[in-house]
Order: sequence, then C-alpha cells, then structure tokens
Amino acid sequence: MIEETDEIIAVAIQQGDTDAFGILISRYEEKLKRYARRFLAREEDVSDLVQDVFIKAYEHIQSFDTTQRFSPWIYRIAHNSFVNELRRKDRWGMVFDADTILPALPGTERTDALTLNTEQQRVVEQALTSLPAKYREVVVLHYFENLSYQEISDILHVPVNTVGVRLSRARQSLETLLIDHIS
Amino acid sequence: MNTIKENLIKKIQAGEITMVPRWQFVLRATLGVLGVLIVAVLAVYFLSFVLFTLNQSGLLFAPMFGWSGVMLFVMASPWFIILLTGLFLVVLYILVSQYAFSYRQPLVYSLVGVVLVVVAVASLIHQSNMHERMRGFMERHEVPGMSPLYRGSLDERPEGVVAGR
Repeated sequence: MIEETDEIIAVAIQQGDTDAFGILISRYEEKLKRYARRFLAREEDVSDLVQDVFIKAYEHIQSFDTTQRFSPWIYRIAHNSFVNELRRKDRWGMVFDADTILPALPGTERTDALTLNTEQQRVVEQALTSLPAKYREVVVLHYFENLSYQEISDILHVPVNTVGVRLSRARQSLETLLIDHIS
Repeated sequence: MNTIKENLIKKIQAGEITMVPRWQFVLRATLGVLGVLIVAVLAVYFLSFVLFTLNQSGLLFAPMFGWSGVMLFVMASPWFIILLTGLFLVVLYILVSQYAFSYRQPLVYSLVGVVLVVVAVASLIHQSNMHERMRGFMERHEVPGMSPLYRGSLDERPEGVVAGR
C-alpha cells in the first residue's frame, strides 16, 4: 500500500477529516519532541510545548498551501513556539542578527561526511547544549531532522546563505568543543 | 496509546479546538498585499514629488555649483517629505521581508532591491510630467491636503536661484 503524503493528509484535514490529523500527529510527534529537546536543550515541558504546536497547526491548517511541503510549515510553527518559550525564559536574547545582512560564501564541507556512531552522537549532543540557540537550531534541523538549507530558510525566515554561515560556525564551535572533550 | 494524539482528537471532536476559517487567511493575505501596494505607491509618489520639487526650484542642479551649491541644496531641500519617503521605504522593506522572495536573500539585497524599484518607478513618473499636470489641476481645484503641497512646491525656490537663461 502506498503511504499518503503529508500534503494529501493536510488536504483531508482541511476538508474536515479529524482522524487524518491523528496520522500527522503520529508522524510528527517524535520529530517535534526531538527538535524541542535539542533546540531548548532540556527535557521538561517538551510534551506540553509539542501539544501546543499541534493545536496551532490544527487551528491554522486552512492557511497551509497544499502545493508546498508540509514539513517546513509545521517546523515553522514549532520554531515560533520554541523561540517564544526561550524568550519567556530570557534565553534567546537575539534582537538583531548580523548574519542576515550581507551575502556569504557557502561552506565547502560535505554534509554526508558527517556520519556518527552512537557514542559520537552522544558526545556531539552533549556539546550541542553548549552552543548558542541560533547555532544549535540549524544543526538540529539540518543534521538531525535532515532538512535542506532552503527548508531551514523558510522555517527560520532568514536568508539561505545565513543558514550556511550558521552551520559553518556551529561546526567550528563543535569541533573546538569536541577536541577539548577528547583531550 | 499516544496521549497527545488521543487528547487532541478528543478536544477537536468536542469542538474545544476549531480551525480558523480559510477566508480569514485569504483576507489577511489580501490585506498584506494591499498594504505593500499602498506603501509602495506612497513611497513612489513622495519620492517623485521630491524630484519634482527639487527640479522646479532648481535645487536638483545646485550641488554642481560647488560647496555653496551643496549648502544651498542641504538648507533648502524639502526634508520633511524626504524623511517621509524614507519612512515609507523602511515600512515597505519590513512588509516585503515577510515574503519568501525577500527573506531568502541577504537583507542588503532585499533593501537595495526595494530602493532601486522605488527610485526607478519614481524617476519614470518624474519624467512623465505627472506632477506638472497635477500642479495645474491643483491650481484650478482646491483638494484638501494636496493643493497646499503643490503650492508649497512653487514657493520652494530659494532666494538667488534662477532657473533658465
């Protein structure tokens, strides 16, 4: 049986199929919880936050353009909710981001070069919590949620180049942290 | 059983969580586009009016006459309308930056793009003598808010500046 795409399911929800929304919750609950845990760098309240994301998604489902991909749309809602949460706890602190002003050259590193085993992944995740939220988020979306630069640009509403710059800086910081960890 | 899923489906079926109707999003999007268009038209109108006023008063060419010309330009330019144009440009940029074609580009590209488009259209309008015709109309009819603006543009010529031979 061919699995229906998220976008086809979204059309069904828009037409009033409540059960179809259950399918999307099943597909995205773990992904969004993982994104929340890593982005917010904590375990508590994650279920409540993700539940709020789904409530907003349902309320605003009629604004979803079914010709676009569903995943960046729901991650955008999640991003806004999590940023609000960080702001509420005064852990965001980003009023103006200089990375977004000028164009920048993309990094030369290949994404698929970063394949980690479980132990390495645990160490990387530990190091991730030391990164500023704006760098941690792009790492999570790109490496853990497998989203493209353009999809991340659409989620964060920042230039595509800025995504590349943040990833490159995050990698450099992680490298330094991991070298410190090993030594 | 998945608690979030179970919880939400129950709330949806009980009518505690409802969808915002599509027409509200369509209305919001339409108002957004309308807002961009209105602010763009105002920015273009005021910028072309600044060019018209500077041209009428001869101030547009004043900086070509050395330091004193530059000083005259600075002293006699219609700064209120120039600042108003700047304000509309900033608002226009903020409105446009909500759209993917803008936020996907570096801020400087979008900003320069907005300014270039407004300057280009304002220059075309300036070339078309639209303000000249509007001034003629304002002289014949009293339009609240507009007629004083055009009368003001006639009186802008600073002392000692003579246009023509």
